[in-house]
Amino acid sequence: MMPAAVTPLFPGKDQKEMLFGYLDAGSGSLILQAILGGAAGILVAFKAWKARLVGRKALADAESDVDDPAVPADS
Amino acid sequence: MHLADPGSFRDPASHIVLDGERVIRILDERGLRAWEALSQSSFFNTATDDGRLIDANPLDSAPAGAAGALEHPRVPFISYPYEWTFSMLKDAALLQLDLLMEALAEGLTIKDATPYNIQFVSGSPVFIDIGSFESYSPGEPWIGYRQFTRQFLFPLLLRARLGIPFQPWLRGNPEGPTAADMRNLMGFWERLKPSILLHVSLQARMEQRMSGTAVRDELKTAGFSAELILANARKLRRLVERLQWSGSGAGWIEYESCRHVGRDREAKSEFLGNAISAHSPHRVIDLGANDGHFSTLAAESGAVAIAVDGDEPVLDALYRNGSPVSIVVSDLTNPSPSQGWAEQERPGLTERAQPDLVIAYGLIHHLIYTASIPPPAVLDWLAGFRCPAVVEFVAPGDEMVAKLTANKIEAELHPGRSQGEFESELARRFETLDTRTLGDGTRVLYRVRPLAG
Repeated sequence: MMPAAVTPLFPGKDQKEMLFGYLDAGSGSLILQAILGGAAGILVAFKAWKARLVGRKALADAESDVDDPAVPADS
Repeated sequence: MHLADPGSFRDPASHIVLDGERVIRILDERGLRAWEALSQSSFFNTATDDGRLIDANPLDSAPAGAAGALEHPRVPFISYPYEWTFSMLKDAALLQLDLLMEALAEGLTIKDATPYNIQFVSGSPVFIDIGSFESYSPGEPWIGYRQFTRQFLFPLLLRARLGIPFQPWLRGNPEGPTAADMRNLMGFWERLKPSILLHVSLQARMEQRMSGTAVRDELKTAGFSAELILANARKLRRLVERLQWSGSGAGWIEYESCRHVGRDREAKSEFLGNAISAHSPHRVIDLGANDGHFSTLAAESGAVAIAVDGDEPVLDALYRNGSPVSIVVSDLTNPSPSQGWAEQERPGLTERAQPDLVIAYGLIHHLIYTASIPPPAVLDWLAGFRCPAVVEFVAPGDEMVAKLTANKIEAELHPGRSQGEFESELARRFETLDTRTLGDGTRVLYRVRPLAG
């Protein structure tokens, strides 16, 4: 498994999705602008934040399964 | 023959090339689709008609390899945000937000938010980067929000809330201060204000926590919409509109109170008028322009007039009075250099100005006595413009020179400051075409032309 601190140097899924064009929009700023949109936006930001946490947990679980020699690769 | 504009290369979909005096925008397939969407919107016609958006005419044939090409009118003089006054940057910010809101209303968006896409033509901001518009994809956030805060909002906050001039910061780092920089600059009470809390503190915190994570899909799935961008843009507009700088116009009163200003103004205007009649300049640079009186005379003659001064309050008042001159805030002993990518992206002030008449009224004694520039070096610099000039010489006995040297001793001053020595040095570089002595005889005007070769 690639250490988390090294991954930004090797563009994977996360980095590809960050690229909107020639401008780096900044992930935190993107979530923030939902909040700045008002009450409806706060709900959108919360959902996006929650989805992000769920996604990260799923990714972490999948990676720990692959790293664990006791768990068959196809399980 | 097309020459690439050294300042237009970041967007692969759209870039500018120069063909003599013509300005051509080259589009790839994506850029062409974006242009077609923009040109079919009603807001494009409205914004170009009222001068807020630069005109664009499609060309029948595009260069090899391009999907399309447009021609724009040439902007007479390019200036950069680090040369603007507070009110100029503020008006540019409002234009950026207005165009974003109008574009969103018709299913378009602006994919960046940088003041480098705005220029001032005849005293008004004009959005010049047609290539920044593209169709809005439902659920997408405003990509330019962070850039807007760094290059518009934070520089304005620096001046309005902290009293710090933004120009040196933007000249040092054209990306502008980060949210973290701003948070570190803000005091405790300032940080409690809602606008600072949200755009500065919260943004800094979220940028730190979420660096390098992808959020676009999550935002789309969560229901992000153009309405949220519009709500944010409306609030930002109200915030920017309320920002005021108390220093604006302060220098004006000080300048107007100088005795020689009123006394000599008419004679200097007439002398300049004669120079304009004699040389019919197309581009005039007014070095040390102060309140812009002489630049305005040049502009009224039909020339592109560039007013350069380090005094931002005076130039800000000039801008707010609706002057058509091109305004540049710059210390003439340290003018804007060539910088950016390969030191060519943003050419230096002299390279951009290309004047055919120089006004140097009330200037050279400040360079000699305040900035300690040797008199021959001042004349070398003026000769470097390679065009006629009107120059005001101020003799050592003048009351202003007495003020400038009040705390200096003779040994600290460069030699060659007398009128005779000045004329001798002048004759080594210029042919004198006209002279006039002003007021009490301590000030003399010269109209000169560089010696051939």
